[in-house]
Amino acid sequence: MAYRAVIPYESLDPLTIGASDDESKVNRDTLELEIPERNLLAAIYPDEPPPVPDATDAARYALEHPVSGRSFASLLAGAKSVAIVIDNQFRPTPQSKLLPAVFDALETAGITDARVVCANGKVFPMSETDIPQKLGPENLARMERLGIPFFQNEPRNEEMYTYVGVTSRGTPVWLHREVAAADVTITIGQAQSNHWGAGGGGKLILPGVVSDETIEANHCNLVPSPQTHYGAYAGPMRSDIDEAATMCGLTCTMNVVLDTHGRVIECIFGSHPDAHRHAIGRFNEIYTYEHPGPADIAICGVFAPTDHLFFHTGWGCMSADLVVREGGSIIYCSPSPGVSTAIGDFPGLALMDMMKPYLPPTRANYERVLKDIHARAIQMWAGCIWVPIYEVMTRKHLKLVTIEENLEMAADVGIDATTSLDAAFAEALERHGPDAKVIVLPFARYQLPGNAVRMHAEDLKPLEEVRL
Amino acid sequence: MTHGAIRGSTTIVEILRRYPGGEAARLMSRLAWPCAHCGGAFHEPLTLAAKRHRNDPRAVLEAFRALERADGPSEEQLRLAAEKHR
Repeated sequence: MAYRAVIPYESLDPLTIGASDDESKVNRDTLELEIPERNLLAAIYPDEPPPVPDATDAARYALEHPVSGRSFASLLAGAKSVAIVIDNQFRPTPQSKLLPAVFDALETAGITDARVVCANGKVFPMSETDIPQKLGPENLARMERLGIPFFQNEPRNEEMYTYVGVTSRGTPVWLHREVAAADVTITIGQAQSNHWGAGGGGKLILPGVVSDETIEANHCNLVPSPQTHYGAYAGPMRSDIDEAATMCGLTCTMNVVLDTHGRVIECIFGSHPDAHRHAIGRFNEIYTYEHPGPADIAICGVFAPTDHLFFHTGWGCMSADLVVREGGSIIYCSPSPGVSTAIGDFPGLALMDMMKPYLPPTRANYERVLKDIHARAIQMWAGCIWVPIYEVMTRKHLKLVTIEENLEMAADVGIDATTSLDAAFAEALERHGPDAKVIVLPFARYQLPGNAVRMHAEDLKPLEEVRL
Repeated sequence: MTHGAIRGSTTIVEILRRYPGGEAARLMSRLAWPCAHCGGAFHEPLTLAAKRHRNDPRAVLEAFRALERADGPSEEQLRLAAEKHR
């Protein structure tokens, strides 16, 4: 008897962006694999609620019904200036549908001093073609009519930043001056658990709209911490981010929980940091699963809203790590077709080449990585993704299943890759024997074992207690 | 469109735009620079990028200038450009 697993193998047209809702630009391919029943430990398919009928209406309702603190209208009543911080082209948040509700509130309150700032951190800014896709042409026209300027983060332009202070974990904070100048700051982003603890909320402040030094200080010190992991909301990295956001005067957050098709399941608004915490709690209710015990092999799939680069789809390596035994195998199915940007086309494994000087992945070479992080020879705005993947690779075998076009670069970098899931699975069974236990995580980037969740400081426990 | 020689003051994004076929991005990859994806690319001159990444600015400049040649930079030029200095 065999279990037939269906693995999402989705990708986006390289010319579109994560927030696009144009289904013609999404490739919803799947891979299928027969797994002998005796090998199957678990196949985890989340039970996703239906999407909201209208994201703009959901945003409007959320702004009027905060889960904590005051309504947005009430906050605006005493304000003269507002900063609206949105996420960038590599996040699937449908800003074009959420912004109208915010602009309605600004107009009703008579606020004329407002700005929209893109939280692109150290990633290159959105291009002239990205901006209308992300914000929507109607919103851009409305911004022009209302005199609302649009800014993007310029982390190396010192003139754009205002010094705020130092967090309790030692991160010096310089904030984008357009955000610093506002009485009320709202972030609009996607809430999801991830390998930094969680995304969205205060994370649009740090790393979104702070300086190079702030981003690197936070990331260099706190990404490698064993307490920074999937679900670790109370971990050091996420805690530092939320503390910095508080210091920067973040007033409130609007957080969407998106399903694996990029549709809004919930929109949650309220004061910082409570509303974001609430949204992460909701995300975890949907996408956590009971740890089934250690697997020898994990088979992971990817879904379209972020699938241009393995750099972004590959986060699930860190969640699969939590349920795969030491020495086990992670088979990661990601077509990763690459992305076209204003400054050129980038292949599907772009930025993963940063790990090339440290391959093969060994503990000794990981020590070199750590030394180079603290010598500032590694840029951790990019290392915050490839370094955790590398660290997993020092303990587990990563096999990438991808499109033909990526194989040459994978070989050059030193990443083990193939185009065949069947071949990858046969090889893993050969490595781990006929009784190998297999877990299927079709949406690994979202999925995490429930015992990894650390929402409060008192929950912090050694990671060994997660891995079972 | 014509370009002058790459200079130390040429920004990363200007260099990337000179080579839409990706030659400059691949050279940055050989130097273990993530610049091609970095917001700093829009402001960072090549010399400053070399210093930030602790590579020799002169060797880096010569490697990028060698992109003009049909065979690109030599292995020796690449080695010198990629060498990290403490």
